[in-house]
Amino acid sequence: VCAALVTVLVPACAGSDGERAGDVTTPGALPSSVTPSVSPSGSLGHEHAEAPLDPDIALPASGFYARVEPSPAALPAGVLTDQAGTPFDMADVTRGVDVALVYFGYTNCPDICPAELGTVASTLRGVPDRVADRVRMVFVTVDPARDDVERMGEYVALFDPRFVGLTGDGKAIERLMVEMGLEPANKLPTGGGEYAMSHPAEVLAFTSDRRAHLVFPFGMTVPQWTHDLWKLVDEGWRQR
Amino acid sequence: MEATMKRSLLIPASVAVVVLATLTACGSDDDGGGTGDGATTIEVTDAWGWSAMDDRGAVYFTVSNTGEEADALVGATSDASDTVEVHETTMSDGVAEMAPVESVEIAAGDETTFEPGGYHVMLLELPEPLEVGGSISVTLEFEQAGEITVDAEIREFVDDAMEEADEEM
Repeated sequence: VCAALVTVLVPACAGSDGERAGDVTTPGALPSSVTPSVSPSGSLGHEHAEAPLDPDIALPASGFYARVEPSPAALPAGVLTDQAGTPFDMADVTRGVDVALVYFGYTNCPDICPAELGTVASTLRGVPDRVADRVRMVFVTVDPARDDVERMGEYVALFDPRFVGLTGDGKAIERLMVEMGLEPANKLPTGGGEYAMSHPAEVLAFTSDRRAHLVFPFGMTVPQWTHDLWKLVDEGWRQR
Repeated sequence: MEATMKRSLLIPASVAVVVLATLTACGSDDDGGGTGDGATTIEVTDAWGWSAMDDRGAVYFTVSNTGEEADALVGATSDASDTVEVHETTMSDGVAEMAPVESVEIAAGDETTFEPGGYHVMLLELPEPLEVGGSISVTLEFEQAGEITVDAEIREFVDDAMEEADEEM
């Protein structure tokens, strides 16, 4: 049993030197209700720890670092194709998870797309598995002409094999964006037949009530992401 | 370096001294800009990059202008790609757009960090993906200071962010 505990503890803390586990596991946070049979996903130290705060930035009054939407977008339906070539209905994106993160970008985007996806991937590596397993990251291309199923698969694998990469009909993608309250993407010629795409700089977080109460603007740090995702998984969305 | 020397001949004599000082500094030091002679007014540090997919990459760095006159980054070349542009990502109302820019001014005494979500040097038509852990050479062309060559370390998306996370936690 001990060996099993160690083996689950190590991957859960990998990347953070276990430091964060020590920081957030205050003595009072180790209650008597600690289950002896730790689930395969999560370490004892993390099991009952609360979402750690970003030490550098005060938590906004909303209780989240991300922006809280006063009129959150409802989850629309729309069938695209995932990186395995399987149809994926956006309406099902929250199925089996507590938080579904939806981000629209494109694989030729060299700048904010990899930065954003890298931040989310880093966050999910650093949190306990019991949190990471309840979060689904979905990257939807706004450039389906270049981003086919295979390319989406290659791309999301660069970040986290658990990420879902969706492509499909351009009109269907545009409709999803509009229904989520986002600006549709535009082609921006950069010369020589090349083009960039405009795309949302924000990640929408849909919770189990199928609404995007939280919007993560570009530039949020791993500690901020960690806090918000952890809290959403632990507490669900609660109106304050 | 030959190209660099040729270019410096085109630059007015008043700044030639600075350019030569820069060249001297760069010849022996890939850290970008002058370290020790005090004559260089543009310094480029912390250069790094990544490739998004097979054919595109971005390079980031910090430019410090320690001089008393404004300077501007007006172009870039690299040994990694024949097609190199200076781009800016702008964000308004939650929408990100990326476009080539002619120049990026660095005011006197100012420091500008090229970073995701802002300015970057974009590498197009990369013949092969940039190798994580390796480095590429990037030559930045400044209006006043001439050319400065730096080595940009190629980073991995996720590890890079984890390092930042560790620092911040």
